[in-house]
Amino acid sequence: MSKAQQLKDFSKFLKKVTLFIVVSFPLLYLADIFYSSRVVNKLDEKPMWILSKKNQKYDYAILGSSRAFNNFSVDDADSLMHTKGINLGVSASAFPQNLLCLDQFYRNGNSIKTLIVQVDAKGFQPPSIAYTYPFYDFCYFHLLGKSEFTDSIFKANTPPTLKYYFRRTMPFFKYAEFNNKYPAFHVATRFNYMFEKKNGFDYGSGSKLLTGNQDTEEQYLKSSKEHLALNTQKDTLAVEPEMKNTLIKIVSLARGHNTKVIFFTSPMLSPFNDNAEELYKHVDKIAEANNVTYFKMMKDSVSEFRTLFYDGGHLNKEGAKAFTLRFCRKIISNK
Amino acid sequence: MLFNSFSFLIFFPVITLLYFVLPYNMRWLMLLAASCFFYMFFVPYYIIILLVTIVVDYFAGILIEKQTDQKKKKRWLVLSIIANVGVLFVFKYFNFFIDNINTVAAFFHWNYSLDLLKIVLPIGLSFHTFQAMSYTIEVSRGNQKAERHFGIYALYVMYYPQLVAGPIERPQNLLWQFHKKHSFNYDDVTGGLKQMAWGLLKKVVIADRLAEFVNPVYTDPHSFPGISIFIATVFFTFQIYCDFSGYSDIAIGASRVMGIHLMKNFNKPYFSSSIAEFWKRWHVSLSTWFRDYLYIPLGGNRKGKWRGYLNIFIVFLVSGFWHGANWTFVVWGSLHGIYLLFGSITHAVREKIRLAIFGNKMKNLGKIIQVAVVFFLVCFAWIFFRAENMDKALYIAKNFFTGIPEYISGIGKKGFLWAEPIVMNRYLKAVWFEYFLIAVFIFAMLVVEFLQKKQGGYLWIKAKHPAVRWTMYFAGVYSILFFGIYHKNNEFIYFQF
Repeated sequence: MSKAQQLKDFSKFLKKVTLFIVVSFPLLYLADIFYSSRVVNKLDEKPMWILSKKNQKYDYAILGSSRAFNNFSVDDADSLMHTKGINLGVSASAFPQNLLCLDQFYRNGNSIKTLIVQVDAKGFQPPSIAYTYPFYDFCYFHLLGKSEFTDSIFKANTPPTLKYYFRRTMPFFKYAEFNNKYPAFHVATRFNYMFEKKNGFDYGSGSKLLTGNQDTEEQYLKSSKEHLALNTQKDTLAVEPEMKNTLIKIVSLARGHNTKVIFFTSPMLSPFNDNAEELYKHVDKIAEANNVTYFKMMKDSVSEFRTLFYDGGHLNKEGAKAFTLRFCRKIISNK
Repeated sequence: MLFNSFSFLIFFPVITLLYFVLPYNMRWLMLLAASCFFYMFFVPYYIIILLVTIVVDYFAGILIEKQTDQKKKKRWLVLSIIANVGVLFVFKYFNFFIDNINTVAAFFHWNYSLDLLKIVLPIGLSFHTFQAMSYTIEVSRGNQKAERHFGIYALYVMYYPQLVAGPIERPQNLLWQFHKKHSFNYDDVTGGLKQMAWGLLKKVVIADRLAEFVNPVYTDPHSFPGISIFIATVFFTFQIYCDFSGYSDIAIGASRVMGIHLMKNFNKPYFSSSIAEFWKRWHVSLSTWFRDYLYIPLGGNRKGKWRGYLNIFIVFLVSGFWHGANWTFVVWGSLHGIYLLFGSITHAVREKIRLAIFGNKMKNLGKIIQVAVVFFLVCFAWIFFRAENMDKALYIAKNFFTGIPEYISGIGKKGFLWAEPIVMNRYLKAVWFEYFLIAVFIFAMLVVEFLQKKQGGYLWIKAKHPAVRWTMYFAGVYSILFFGIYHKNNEFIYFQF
């Protein structure tokens, strides 16, 4: 094929591609605007529930991963201590997302007297290794491009920079990527899915108490054995400096809003809590350096009763109530 | 790297652009480097395995060609085949054999247990070893000259569009194309891109959506009523087609954009009116591979009718085993072997019955019934392909037949919705709308493929008015954007082989 013919072919191709883009972009841009107007802060997801809270005053807030979300019963604590609390825990959430949630919570005009932060060994590991989904990207589209969001997302699960850039700049890219969360039909018809409340958490307090016990005796014995075998091979607590710094940032942010901070580690079923001392030592250092009280409850007496647990790391409803009661006693005696 | 991933969205245009920008003599190097990068996205160090087989087959090819003595020729060929099959055996079948030996030992209470290898199957291993074997076999047969350029030969094995799941190419079709100077060709580029989009639509819109229904049922069939099992199996029949043919379309399209034409892998298989026809239309590159390198060398049908039948059965048995080291695949292959033998043996009788019932006037009705029967048989066989083990496969197979009568008998007492057809994955929220989407897209796919068959491939779109054409392109692209499933990074089913 001659060069002239090739050039002719190429320019014909470019024209078609340009036409396709010229027609596509405005359409996608309109779709993007339409989606955004419908869905921002309206999805049935815990972070969006947190973002929907505005100008509220709380005596305390619980912050952390599922071990805060599931293990602490705000209703029970409130009725015991005559307080108004909120559970800001999000499943599989690492410190960067906790920081972002707290920051947004304050920016929305809310105030907290005491912030109770759940601290775990997993929290100090790289989030993408420690958690299956450490950051709910799809809940924060309205923050795309803002520094507080960019910082958190890259600390949490480092999406490829290009992908993040596409989400920011290419119209509709983000909604296409997460269209399991934003199904076209629902968005178009306002099918109530945004408020469906299927996630099963208490939409008043933000806690999610689990029912029963997930593991059979056989599964429990098997996973206990595996855990012990793994732990004998690996003694040291892996600490990612970035995660440690993020925890300290959470403390500073709270202090900046006149909030008292308490760390705690919630109970884990024996023998999954056998590395508690190592964690305590590490968190103690951070707590002392930042003048924070630390409640070491990983080996609390509830951790001996399998009937109080849903799985190795999560209490069930009865367990959460029992633990909350014991936690409140500690708070009261600490006062 | 997956074709349906963000990485590929960047990788493909960059590589294609580089391909056309670079001088001809640099292109092979760039394509080879890109293919290595593509492969190393999965398990990087497995590239060493590929490299070893490439080196062995490269030299084996040259040595085979040099030999004038047939015996020596054969010796080098056998060495090459042993190297390829050996790699395949160690990584894919070793644990299967050990596991079965251990099971037998345990059954006879022998105090004897062998350790399993702790290895992950290299992605696409069966595909590239088969492609490599076809090279040395063709060289030994004198149909292909041994490739002297090591880089080009390595590219033949590693060419990224078809590296992990085919089409399994023949050296006669592919090698020369790497030497050819390809220039920018409008028809190839646009045709390739359209084929890629079509493949992507089949994968992310249809196959991955169907997977949301199929996976829960096949993971835990005991928790579902028979009707769910029936529906899940029919859905899987379409899922695997859209998944694999979607992959092939993307592979063929991506290659065509660069002017390199790969062989067709699918030809509307679910429109087949016999099992024999089905295998001429399904995974064509593999079925012709088995025909050329196993069935014919075994004697084909030249050694008598019954020996021919035995050869067919052997081919299907091996084909089943090629797919996976699990008894379920062996049963799947054997089932197809049995179908084919039954079809061949009873062909004359069935034709007489067909003529007696439908005659020549209702030929089309007879054909439709044949297509439906073949679809049902293929559908049933997929149970063994998809099930995780034989226990689950047998349970599903049993309920596949009882599902509909059980459902119908329950309607009178409990109403039409007595058994929720399939418990949906929580990510897909409106069940009925998902069913609607599935129905629309499968119907659209069948219509499009039927029209392609009638009017010669993609030409039928070309013949339409530009407004109609562009509406269709936009509909396709927007369907991918709005209805594709991306949250799981679903791998292609055939990557596991």
